[in-house]
Formats: sequence, C-alpha cells, structure tokens
Amino acid sequence: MNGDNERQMRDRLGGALDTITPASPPVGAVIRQGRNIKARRRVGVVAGLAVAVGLVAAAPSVIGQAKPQPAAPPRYQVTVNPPAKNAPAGLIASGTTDGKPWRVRLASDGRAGETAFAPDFSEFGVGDETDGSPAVFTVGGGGAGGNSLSMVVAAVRADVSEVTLRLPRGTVLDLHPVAFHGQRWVGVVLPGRLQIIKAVVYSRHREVAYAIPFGTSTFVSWLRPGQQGEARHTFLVGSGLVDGRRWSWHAYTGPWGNCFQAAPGGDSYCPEGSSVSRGQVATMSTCSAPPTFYTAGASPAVRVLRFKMSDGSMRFAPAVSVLGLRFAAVELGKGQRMVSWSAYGASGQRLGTGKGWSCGE
Amino acid sequence: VKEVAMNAPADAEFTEFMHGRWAQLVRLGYGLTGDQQLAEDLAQTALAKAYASWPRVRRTGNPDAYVRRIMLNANHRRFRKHRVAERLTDTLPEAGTADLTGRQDDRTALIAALMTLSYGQRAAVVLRYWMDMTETEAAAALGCSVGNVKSQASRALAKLRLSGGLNDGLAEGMSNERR
Repeated sequence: MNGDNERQMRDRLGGALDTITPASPPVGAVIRQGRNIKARRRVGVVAGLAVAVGLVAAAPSVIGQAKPQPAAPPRYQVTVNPPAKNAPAGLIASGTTDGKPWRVRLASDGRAGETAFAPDFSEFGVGDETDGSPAVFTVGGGGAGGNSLSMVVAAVRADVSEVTLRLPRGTVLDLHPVAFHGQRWVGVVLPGRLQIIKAVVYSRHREVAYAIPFGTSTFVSWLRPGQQGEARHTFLVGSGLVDGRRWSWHAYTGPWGNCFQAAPGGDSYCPEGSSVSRGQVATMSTCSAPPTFYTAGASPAVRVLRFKMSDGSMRFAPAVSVLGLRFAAVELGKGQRMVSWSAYGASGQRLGTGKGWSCGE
Repeated sequence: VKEVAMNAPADAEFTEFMHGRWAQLVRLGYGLTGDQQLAEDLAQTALAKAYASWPRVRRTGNPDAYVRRIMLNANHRRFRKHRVAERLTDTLPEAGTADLTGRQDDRTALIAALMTLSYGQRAAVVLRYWMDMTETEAAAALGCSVGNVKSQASRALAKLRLSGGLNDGLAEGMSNERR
C-alpha cells in the first residue's frame, strides 16, 4: 500500500465516520454511572479491608449495603418527527419505534381529550387540562409481550416550548409542542415498559421544571430546576393473607412524591396533594382488586386504626409514618365489608371515628 | 444538553470535556463496532470510568488518551466475549435495505468491510487512518508494540484490498496503484 492508498483510506474513513451524528452527550447518565462505579469501588475496598483484618462477620453487612444493580435496559430505537406543514389536523408527531411506524394523532371531532391512534392502539382519554402544571402526561398501551408499545401524550402549559424525555442508554428525545383545539401537546410512542428516567420542560429561554416518574411513566410531581425532591424510600404499610392469597401495600417515596403499589397485581396509586386534609383524623382511600384490602390515610397523631367489619370482627392496623402522614391497610375477607373505623393515638386515646366504606362506592 | 446537574468544579470540567469529546468517541466506537448504539454505549462506559477517576485522569495531562484506552479495552473485552457471534467470514454481510444517499452506501460498504477484520486490525486501521495517529501513538493506545501496529495495519489493508466489499473510491485508488 503506497502513500496514495493510505491517503485514500483516510478519506474513505473520514467520509464514513465523520458523518456519524451521535445523540446528545448523556452527561447525566454518565455521571450517575461514574458515581455508581465509585460507590462499588468503595464497597469493594471496605469489604476487602474487612476480610484482611479478619472481620469476616462484618463483611456481609457491608456488602449488604450495596444495592443490586438493575438489569441492563433493553436495546431499542425511537425516532420522533414533528408533523409536516401540510399534516392533517391533530397530528402531534410521528416516528418509528424499533422499526414500527407510529403516529400520535388526536381526534379531529372536537372532543379534546379523545384520541384516535394508529393501528394497535385503542382510543384512550387524554387529560387536556394542565391546571397550572407544566405538563400532564397520559400513557396508553398497545400490543402485547415483547411487541407492546406505550403511547405517551402530554398536554403542556402555554409557556412550554420543548419537552425532553431522558430514556435508558443515554437517549434523550426532544419533543416540540403542537397546538390543537386550544391546547398544546407533545407525543411519542415508546417500547412497552421502557422506563422514562426524567422529563424536563423548557420555555424558550430556560428550564422550567423537571419530573421523575414513578414506575415507567407515572408523572406526579414537578420540581424546580435544581430542586432535589424527596429521598427514595420504600415503606411496607400492610401485608397479610386473605382467602389463601398474600397481599401487601407499599409506599414509595421519591422525587416523584408519594405513590402506593399493591402486590400482587401491581395496581399503583399516586395521590396528588395530601391524602388527609387539615383537621381530618383519617380517610379511607382505596380498595384493591382481589385479594381485597382497604387502605387509609391518617393524621400524624394516629398510631393504630381499628376497623369493625360486617361480621362483627375487629381488625387493627398500625399506622405507618410516610412523609409526615400515617397510612394503614387491612384485608377484607370474602363477603366482608367495613362498618366503622376508629383511630387511636400513641397513648391509646381515641382520636376519631367514622362510618365504614364499601369498595366500589 | 440542557440538563446538567453539576455543582463541583470538577464536575463542570468533566462535563465540558465530555461535550467536546462525545462525538469523536462515538465515531471511534462506530469504526470499531460498526453499530452506533454499541458505539454510544462504549463511549458512555469509557466516560463513566473516566469520571469515576477524574482527578487521577486529569493529572495524567492527557485525558483523551486515557478515555480512548478505556474504550479500546472495553471493546476488546466485548470482542473476546462475543467472538462466536462476531465470527470472521470471507463474505460481507448484506448491506440491508437500500440507503438513501450515496454517502450512506459508501459508509455501509466500508464499515462492512472493516467488520471482516480482526479486532487488532480494525483498531489499527481506525487509529492510524481515521485518527491520524502515528504508529507510535497507535501502539501506545493499543498497548502493543510499534511493530505489531505496523503488521496489523498492513495485513488489514491487504485484506481490504482483496475484499470485494470496498467501494469504488478505494478500488479506484487500488487500480491506480496497479497501473
């Protein structure tokens, strides 16, 4: 190979590689990953030292503090295109997800909040009132198993000019609002169960707010730029056995706010604002799908809730402290319903009572 | 990138470094893997490792070399791990669906040809002829001898010359050489 050919090789490689356009640098993801590496090194060093000095018993507790690494996110490819100038009314965006073409199009019959989507998606209602929130997300699903897709649609406030969604593997999607029926919208279709790591909304000149969803895509609270949000904690509010089936009710606090999730079944519930109003002792919140259990929110002074059931039995549930409030959950046997409840404080004094509440009311 | 939660000066410095190098690292990764997603993963891994040791990396005075070395090592490990999946063949993989532009065709053909090379040959070609490194610099980046880089690059070019997957541009250059 002479110099000409080497030069030609340089040109060919330059032509091939210099035209690659990478996604934006995933600064946040890299720094998080880097911090995890540092944390793992520290754990490794501490555990190593513990073994070296013969503190064999101490090592498991140190290792136990290391969080298990989440499974690697799946590979995926998402492209988003804004609607062309001559696009039909209501078309918010189009693109491909893992090679499958999609369109997010709102219904054109004037019913804001109804959507008619491309094949594989049945219509689902979309919240069209932002109520002062920078963006209100609605997520609908289509397909099944490995082919499932999630359609993410958000109504955004008038001052929002861009929404970015940070996804696993460093992908950041830029979504630009499109006006339709007096509201501004963004939309995208993602692989089903793909975790949205963060949504950030921008006005023309600055970042307005960001939100970290609970689960894959449940957006509850918006935080100001730089605001930390709540620390991530998990609380077991209640668990038990009903009709031979185990149940549990966990509270998950974090930057999203406070969300509850039932197991089995995985129904989640993220109350907006406080679950208990000022002056209220307790409020019965939700009922789960079978196995059925009641959940309740209570004021900070409450320590125990007593439930009187329709068959005359009494059930007691400790009120677990979560973000300054108390929460409890109690199971409901077959054919039972709650007749009344009483709330008790730390010294056993009764703080309040209320009538029962049937699931489905 | 608008979302950067930084507070320490070192973080800000690292962010600036990352912004300046990201595209080049992804392109290097693409030359090594032929897959943009993998290339971005490799670049991200290398930068995360550099971030984890940033004060030390900065002290070396050549953070670029450090990050490149991590990236090359990570790709080497990946290559060894997936040796069977990435088995070398004499025939080029199918180019896939028709490309939209001649430039993409050109890139597809060249990258496909590069993928027929061994890891060492591929790395030597990319470092020497895309990054314009000297043989000494490429040897330092790859952690091998200058002689090894010379022979890897030479074998790679010979193999590419024989390969039918190279585009007209290079083939034309080669026919000139024959004349």
